Amino acid sequence: MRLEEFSSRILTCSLCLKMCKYVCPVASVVRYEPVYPPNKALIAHMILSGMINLKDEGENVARYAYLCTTCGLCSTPPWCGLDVRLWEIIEALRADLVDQGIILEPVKRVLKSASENRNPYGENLHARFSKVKHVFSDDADVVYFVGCTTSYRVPQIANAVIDVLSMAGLNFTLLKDEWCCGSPLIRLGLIDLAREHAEHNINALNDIGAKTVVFSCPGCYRTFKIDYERLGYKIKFEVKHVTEVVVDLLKSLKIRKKEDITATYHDPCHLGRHLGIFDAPRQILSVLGIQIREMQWRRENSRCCGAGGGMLITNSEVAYAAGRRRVEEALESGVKNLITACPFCRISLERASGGKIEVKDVMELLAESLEER
Amino acid sequence: MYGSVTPDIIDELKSIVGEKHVSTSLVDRLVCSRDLWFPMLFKTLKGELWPTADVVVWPGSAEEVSEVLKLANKRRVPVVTLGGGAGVCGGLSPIRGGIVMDIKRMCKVLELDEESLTVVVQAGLIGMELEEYLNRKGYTLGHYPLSIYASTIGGFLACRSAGVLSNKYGKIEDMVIALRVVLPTGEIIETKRVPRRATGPDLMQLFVGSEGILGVITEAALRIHPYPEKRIFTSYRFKDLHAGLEAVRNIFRRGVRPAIVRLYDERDTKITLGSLGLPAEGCLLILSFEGTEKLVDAEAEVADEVCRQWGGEQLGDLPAKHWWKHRHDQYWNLPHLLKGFMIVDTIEVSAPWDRLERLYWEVKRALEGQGVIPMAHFSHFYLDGGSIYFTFVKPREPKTPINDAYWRIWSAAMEACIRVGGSISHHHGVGLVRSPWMEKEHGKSFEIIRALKKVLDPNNILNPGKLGMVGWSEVRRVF
Ligand SMILES: Cc1cc2nc3c(=O)[nH]c(=O)nc-3n(C[C@H](O)[C@H](O)[C@H](O)COP(=O)(O)OP(=O)(O)OC[C@H]3O[C@@H](n4cnc5c(N)ncnc54)[C@H](O)[C@@H]3O)c2cc1C
Ligand code: SF4
Repeated sequence: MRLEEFSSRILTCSLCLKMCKYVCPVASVVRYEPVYPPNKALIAHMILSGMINLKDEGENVARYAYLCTTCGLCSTPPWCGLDVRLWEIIEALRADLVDQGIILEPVKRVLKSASENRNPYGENLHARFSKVKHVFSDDADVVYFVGCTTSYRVPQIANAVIDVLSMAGLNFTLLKDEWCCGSPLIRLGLIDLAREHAEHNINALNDIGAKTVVFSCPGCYRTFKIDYERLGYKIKFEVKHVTEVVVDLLKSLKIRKKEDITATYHDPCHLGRHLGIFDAPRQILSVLGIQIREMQWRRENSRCCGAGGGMLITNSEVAYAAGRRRVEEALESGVKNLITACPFCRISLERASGGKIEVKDVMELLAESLEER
Repeated sequence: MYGSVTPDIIDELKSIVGEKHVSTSLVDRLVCSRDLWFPMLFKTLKGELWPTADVVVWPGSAEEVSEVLKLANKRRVPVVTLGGGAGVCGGLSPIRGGIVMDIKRMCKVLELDEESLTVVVQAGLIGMELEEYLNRKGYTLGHYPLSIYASTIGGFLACRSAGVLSNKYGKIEDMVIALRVVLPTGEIIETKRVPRRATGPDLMQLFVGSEGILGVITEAALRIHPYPEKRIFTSYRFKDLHAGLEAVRNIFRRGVRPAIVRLYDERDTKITLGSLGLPAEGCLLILSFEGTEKLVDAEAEVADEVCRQWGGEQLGDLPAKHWWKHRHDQYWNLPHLLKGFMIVDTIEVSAPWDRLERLYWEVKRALEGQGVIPMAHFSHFYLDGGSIYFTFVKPREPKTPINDAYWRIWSAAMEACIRVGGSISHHHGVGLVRSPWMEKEHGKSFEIIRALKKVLDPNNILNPGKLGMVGWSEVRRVF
């Protein structure tokens, strides 16, 4: 079992005193004891030690295994001082469930869709860039990897990124035969299929001579930066989040400052906690003249929007409730604008906002503020 | 004697709380039947099953709790209430099976009365969830047990818990103004929300510390305080425990009420100060003061005067601030010690001033007699006495079964405590671990607790076997 690789950390977490309990964005809305972080590790321990077996309890285990956004908050100091990294355990558990044929219906749908159309949403592969400005260049060695969620669900982020990079004079291209990066597949436990996607994308990027690949989706970015290597692939190109790239290009952009806007910034879990990018998006906001009023739960302690870890697919209502909580927190900081840097967060927070707060990606704001050179 | 949980009971439970809020899966039953008592952790380590309920339910209101209890009472099925599951005494172990009722869905703040400084909450709210809510509104409950991130308001009340700021804000029994409780037979009772009354014995306090055997607490009205204007930390070193205790006693006599008061014995001081790279002799005292700025400054000044009178050396704010910031870090050692098959546990006891030091020495000696390495701190004080909190580790003895060694240690400590005339628990409660000593603790008055249990719970369905209602042999059969 894949869980065995983590047996020591699983036991450690099972023997610990639950100081991470109240921070979990999922458990704090579901409120069943087994959803709290250390109990998910306890369930894994019960499987490994033979106290329960997946043949009888598989479905019950699956119920809890998928109630996690893999946000990692519970595994961050000061809530955890034992480097448990619960999200890795959760992903291994899900993969074990899939290996044993215990596959939830929504996961089956993703499996089918990604196998046939190379995206998790059941959308047509060939319509991937139908709402995205076409920027294809044969001599560019910078590639903007758009990602499924941005392409199909929030193309306005992609178009904003394209506008910004173009106006900054960057020679870049989209990847014609881009497939899902595999992030939702890895998060849901569909590892074999994720491998197919990783191989395809890496080969396609190598074929066009990519030297730098830029992402606006933290999920894709994390997958290329961390997961591909964990799956055993070595990548030759450099990977960067668009906010990191743009911070260096700010000087070459003509920006009309926004007047009198206060906003709060929601750190996406994958971008912030998992990859350490906290400052670049904030720097862009401050260059735009936006005053940031921080939420209590920010940076390393940012509270998940609810959409991560495949939750939007497997437990949409819970994801929604977690999103509402995050929106409430943003409202409490007394602002009318909630900015993030992730298509998932944007969808989740906007859905939860009930029109009370305007939700945007930092790249959209930046694109809006650009003056033609 | 008890009825079993039959399929028709499951169906009825589903019609009460809704189908998705009932589960008979082994996963749910195991997870919801476990607290953080050492033998439970030890079973976890060994991969041994612990006693489980037959079914888990997640009620969403006091009315649903009431219906569940009426059904259970009619069918003679035991019911155990699960709060945060962070009890350390085996209190929620369903040793006789039945239903476990996880009440964390009941988590609303129902009312904030800023004039009367009262908050009304449902019992399934986690401590820090409430504290954060209050802080955002400019208030504090002042209840900071180290389990604040995991335990519930209902659990705090059920176990008579004490937070680390208790010297200023009081313990949970001082904070509670009114309760809503579902009795074992299903009636819902509410006590009146008034600051005090003289209308007979205080029935509300009957349920505080009743550890889920007399009723299920579903709502509480609690006293709150304006968020402190100022918080000061300070620390002193005394040449020995006696000098430190005298300083604290006199601080209290002078009318000063620090929030945090923690006096460490020599061994605990070595570890605590040593980890900060400070000279680690003597006994460390940590103090904090909080509230209105002028009062805080005055309190700190008086306390400083007293500490110096008793030979205290000012160590500045570092040790105190460091402790406050890292107060949960001590727990990161526990899994490693357990993995090494060590016995690790804590025992907190209390006594009046005239017996407090003797209690310390006698319990310490008793623990050492069992091959245990104890250390202690004193952290909850009163005009009339204080509490002692022993932490101990016992290395593995290959020939002795670990549970035998465990019970011998507890036995020695409890007997020593009773001999000195201290109380066997200051704030963790009884659960299973102290049950065998409840009669000795209470003497004849234990009969009153027994009688109350009979009257309120004629069929003995609510958390049976806890708070001293269990024989030693039954406990030992399972743990
Ligand atoms: C790391 C750690 C630190 C701790 N620090 C402190 C501390 O500083 N001070 C302190 O006092 N204690 C402390 N404790 C002990 C423990 O957290 C407290 O006793 C707490 O009150 C238990 O609450 P819970 O919600 O976790 O209860 P649970 O473990 O869920 O239950 C404990 C008992 O109360 C009963 N119960 C729970 N909820 C209700 C209810 N609503 N109605 C009726 N009965 C109920 C249960 O049936 C059970 O018998 C600590 C424990 C840990 C693990
Ligand atoms: S990773 Fe996030 S969602 Fe998952 S258990 Fe931890 S805190 Fe909860």
